[in-house]
Amino acid sequence: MRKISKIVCLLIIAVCSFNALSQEMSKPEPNLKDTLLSNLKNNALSSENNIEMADAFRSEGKIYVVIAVISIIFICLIGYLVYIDMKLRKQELK
Amino acid sequence: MIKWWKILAALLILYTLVWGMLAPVPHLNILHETIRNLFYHVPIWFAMLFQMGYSVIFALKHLAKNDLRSDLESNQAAQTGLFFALPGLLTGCMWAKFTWGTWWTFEDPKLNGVAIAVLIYLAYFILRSSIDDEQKRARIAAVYNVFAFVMMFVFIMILPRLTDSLHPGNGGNPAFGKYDLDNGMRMIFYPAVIGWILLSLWILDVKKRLAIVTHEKNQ
Repeated sequence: MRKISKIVCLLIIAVCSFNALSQEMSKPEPNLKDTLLSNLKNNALSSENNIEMADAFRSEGKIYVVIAVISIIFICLIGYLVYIDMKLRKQELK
Repeated sequence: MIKWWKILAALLILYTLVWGMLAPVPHLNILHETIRNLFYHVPIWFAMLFQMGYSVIFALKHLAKNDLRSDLESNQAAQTGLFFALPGLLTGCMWAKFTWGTWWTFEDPKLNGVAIAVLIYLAYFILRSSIDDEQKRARIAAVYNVFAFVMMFVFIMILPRLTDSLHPGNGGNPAFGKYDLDNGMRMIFYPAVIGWILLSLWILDVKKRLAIVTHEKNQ
């Protein structure tokens, strides 16, 4: 009985020490990521409303021009893909 | 004529292009409006991973059944996947420049992992082109493909999660989903992922049929 409790105690100590060791090892150095992340958190908490977004640009209506341009390009690309697809079908049927 | 899922792909992406620009997004520092890149940059990578998965499944199918058709599918899917890595990398560089302040950082294991994964797949095509015998090429390429996929998965999906990374959802960083991907963004992000995967399948479909037509013509 005493032997078993001894072993259990030892195991618990071992596990705890591994845990402490891994925490020690995984402690990250302050780097780009940490600074960015802490900046992000601080700023998000302190100035929720002061974050610069393109709100004014949107209200001027110019954003719709950009969306139209993107949509036209995309539709052209899809149209071209459809054209290639059809042309290929003709070749397959030959 | 044109299959329904191809039309669905076009409509889904068009929806995300338009509504992704107009929808209200969370106001976050550093990210500002670039948070909308989530609708465009991330789905490209999902499509790339999907194509690589498709490629490895057909590589395994080739090893099981020993048919050249599966080899052709596997090869074309890998090509399509690698093509999608290009806009993925370029848009990633762009986004990094304006949020992390640099085009490329070797501090981020995800960037390094992607660079290595692209090189691994380039080696796949070099390996293919260096073998003339069809059967032999198919078999060796299929075996290499399995290795390449596993390596890519480790480099892109596993290692960045074990160490520090600038990417959200990696290295103890919270993912977008945790605190700033609100439900409005989800309604654009998920259709975008489905749309881009379908579009990559469309391109794969065209490439595959073209390869078959050329193959038949050569014989």
